Amino acid sequence: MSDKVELLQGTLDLIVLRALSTMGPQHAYGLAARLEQVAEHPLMLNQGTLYPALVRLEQKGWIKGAWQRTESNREAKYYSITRAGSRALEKQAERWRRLAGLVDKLLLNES
Amino acid sequence: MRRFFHRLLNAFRDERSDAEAAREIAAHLALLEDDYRRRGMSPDEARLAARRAMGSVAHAQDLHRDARTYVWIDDAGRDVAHGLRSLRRTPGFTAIAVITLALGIGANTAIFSVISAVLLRPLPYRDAGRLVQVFAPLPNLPGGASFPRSARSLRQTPFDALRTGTRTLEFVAGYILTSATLTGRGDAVRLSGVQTTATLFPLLGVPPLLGRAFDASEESAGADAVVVLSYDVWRRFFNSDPAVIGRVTAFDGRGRTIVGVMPEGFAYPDAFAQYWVPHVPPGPDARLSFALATIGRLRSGVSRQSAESEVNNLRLLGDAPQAGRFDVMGMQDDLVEPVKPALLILAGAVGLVLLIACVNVASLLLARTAARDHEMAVRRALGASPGRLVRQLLTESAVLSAIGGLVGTALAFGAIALLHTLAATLPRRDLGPGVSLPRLGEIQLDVSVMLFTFVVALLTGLLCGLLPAWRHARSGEADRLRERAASPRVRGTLVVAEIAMAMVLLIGGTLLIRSFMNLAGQDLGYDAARVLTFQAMPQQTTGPAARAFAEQLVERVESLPGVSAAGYANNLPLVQQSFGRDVSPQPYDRQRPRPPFPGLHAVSPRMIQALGLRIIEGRTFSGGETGRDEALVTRAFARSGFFDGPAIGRRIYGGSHSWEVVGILEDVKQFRLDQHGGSEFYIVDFVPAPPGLGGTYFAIRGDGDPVALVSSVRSIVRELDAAATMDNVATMDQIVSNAMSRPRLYAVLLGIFAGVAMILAAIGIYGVLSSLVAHRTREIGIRMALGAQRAQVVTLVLRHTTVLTVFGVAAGVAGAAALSRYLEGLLFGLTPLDVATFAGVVVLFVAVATLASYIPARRATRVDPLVALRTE
Repeated sequence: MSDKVELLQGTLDLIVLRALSTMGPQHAYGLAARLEQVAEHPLMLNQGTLYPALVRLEQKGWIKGAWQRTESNREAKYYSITRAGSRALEKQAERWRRLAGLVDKLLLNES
Repeated sequence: MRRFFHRLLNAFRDERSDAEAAREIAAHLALLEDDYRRRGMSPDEARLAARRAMGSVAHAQDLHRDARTYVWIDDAGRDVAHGLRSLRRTPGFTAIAVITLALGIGANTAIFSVISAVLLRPLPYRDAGRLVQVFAPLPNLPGGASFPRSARSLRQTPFDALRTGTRTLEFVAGYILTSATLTGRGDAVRLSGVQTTATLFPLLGVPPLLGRAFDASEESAGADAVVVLSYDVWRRFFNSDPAVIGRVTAFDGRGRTIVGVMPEGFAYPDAFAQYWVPHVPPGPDARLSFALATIGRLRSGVSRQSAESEVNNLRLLGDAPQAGRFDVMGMQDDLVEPVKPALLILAGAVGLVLLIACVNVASLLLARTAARDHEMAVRRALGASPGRLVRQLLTESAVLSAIGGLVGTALAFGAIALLHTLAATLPRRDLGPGVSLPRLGEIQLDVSVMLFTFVVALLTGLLCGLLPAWRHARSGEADRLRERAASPRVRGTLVVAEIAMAMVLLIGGTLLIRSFMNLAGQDLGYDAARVLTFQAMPQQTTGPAARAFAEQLVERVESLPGVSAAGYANNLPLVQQSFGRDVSPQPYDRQRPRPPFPGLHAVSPRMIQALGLRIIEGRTFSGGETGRDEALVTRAFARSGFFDGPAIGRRIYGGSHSWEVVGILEDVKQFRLDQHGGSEFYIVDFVPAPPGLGGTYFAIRGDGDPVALVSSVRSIVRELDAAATMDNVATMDQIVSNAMSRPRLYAVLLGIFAGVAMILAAIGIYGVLSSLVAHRTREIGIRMALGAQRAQVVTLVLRHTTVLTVFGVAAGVAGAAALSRYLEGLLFGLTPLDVATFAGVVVLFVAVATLASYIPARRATRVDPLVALRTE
């Protein structure tokens, strides 16, 4: 449990947007699987956090969902990033980098 | 912003989105299952593993929904549903709470509908806030201070001076109430009308429905006679025919051209106005002239005060000595002034009833939530936030008060119907306008009243739910996991407050009821039972023909079977027309000061018997011609100091006439039931009704029900003069009852409210004691097991209520003593601190409280010690 990273509030949106923008349309399951793969430490992520995030992003108009068939011929809702989503991603990523840099600096100075 | 709408929308489109979410979650499960199978699990294993990994599907769906919508809207819906369900589970509690709230809210709705229609809504005229009434100073006469405001009209000269001199009033209009016989449209009928200056219509800003109003050129004696009809007359006597404009019709035998018809509902200055004719100023040699009731419209931006000081500076009365100042009053203020204090008192009373209802329901809810402490504790332990629980409790009480509000609105419908019945008065102008509520016809449940009810119900719900909710929010978790009784102290305080408020209402209601009984039970000076009265007007309104008509009518009516006496007079008791006469105890002498102005009654000799006026000294009129030189005076007249010494045998001089006093009558309630009888004297004479007033009054004393005589009297009238009118038929009892409408209305309403308050308080006491006994069952059982007697147990329980009752009664008496002085103006024959009333109500309340606590106390004595000990 201790090696799992708890997600910081608001970072999940950024991660989802980023994943969709690099990988193209994905369904929720694929997104979850992908997020588990990329992390060095597995993210503590379940449907309880992923789905509300998807709903939130869709309502903001940053992603768009559409029902499609998977390769295994299952139906799934594929999400893709919208133009507004890409713009938001840029802004959010910039903000995040600045914040992360600040936190890094502070942590270094403290130790 | 976009998200806000989505969520709001989603709160209401729940089902479709739920299905969508379920589909997405199912897809997710399927993909997970595929994945597990690829890793080599059997299909069944894969399904199970997928489900495990996914966690609770329902939980996921919930989270999905929470993100999608505003949770609280959803929760509110669930709370309402939950509230309704739990209310249905306890029908007894729900019924009592709903009825209690319905009574409180219904009473408030009904009284607010009155206040809204009478006090708040502007009069139905253009810019009604700028309309004012102008009153002349009181006539400089003895007893002038008690004159009604209608006696403060302006004579023609000051009226004209005001009209030309004023700068603050944009329009000035004057009017005189009148009446006339309409002939040629079926049976002859007496209509009530208004003689007015042409300025009345532009002043009020109400245009005619048809045709035109008259103009200033028609206000002269030589001009064509014209008339404007009310909508009602146009409908009833002219079949709503638009072609009436320009037609000539006969008013008092004189042809008048109909120039206009006013719209429906227009009834200025009173509800009886059926037509309007131009006021033609009397010539300098006119024998009879009436004063003009005067109204005006303030110029915009001019205040009532500045108009008043201007009117007083215009020297309208010339150099004549003035007894006071001119008053300029807002038209609506003037109209509602006599009822405003009482309406505000009633509003306060229903406010108290609602508060009592709230206290009762809060107390019930408190007992109920106490019983649900365990449920709440469990819910909280499972993760419900305190705010969430408070919200749920408040929702429940809001649901209760919403239902209460609905039932209350239905009650208010009934109450308003009752009000219309109670406040209804005989539709006659001569009995005085406004003996009841002004604007009665406008009282109804309209949008503003409904809005008021809605707000009241909402606040009531909050108020009732606040106490139980607050208790829950405050108490710690540990507290609530223990089973804990509703704090007896909180509920005790509620009961004390309830008793005190109910006491205040009951004392107020009792004061009004006893005052009404004083009013109704007093000696009127005449015998009102079995007397029929009416007005009749022959075609020839004056001269010997009019007199002969009256004489013959009385003679023929007296010969009818079942009639014991009949007579005519120029007025009747409680008819608001006074005929004063300048008289003196010696032949006219310019040097001597004028004595008080006694009321003159010109009657036929048998009128004394017909009305049942009581002779307390001397005798009644002798028959025949000698009776014409005799007078009867009232006791007040005889004692007024008019004569020095006894009155019998003395003479009264008036003009060229004199009358010998042969008898003294008991004092008569002539104008108002709540005033002492004044100086009145009766002579045998026929005074023709002045043109414009309804006609000669007749009274018939029957042996049985006088109403049975109406049709035979009517046919006699018709036989004597086919064009004569007979109207305002009423028994004397009806007239007396009519004069009491307002005090009766107040007494009945406040009485009902007080009764409701008392019942609610009794329920409150009962409820508190019942739950107290229920909670102390174990203790009582132990006491009984240890040998306590029944009497001791009863004492134990009653001691609690006795303390509450004593506190409540003491607070109630103090409150009533402080508040009852506001009733002073409404009371007759007793003071606001009437000891008997206070004592009676205290005794009654103690009795009610004892009764309400006796039932639970008795139940306590039935406790079986074994059963009681086993309840834990």
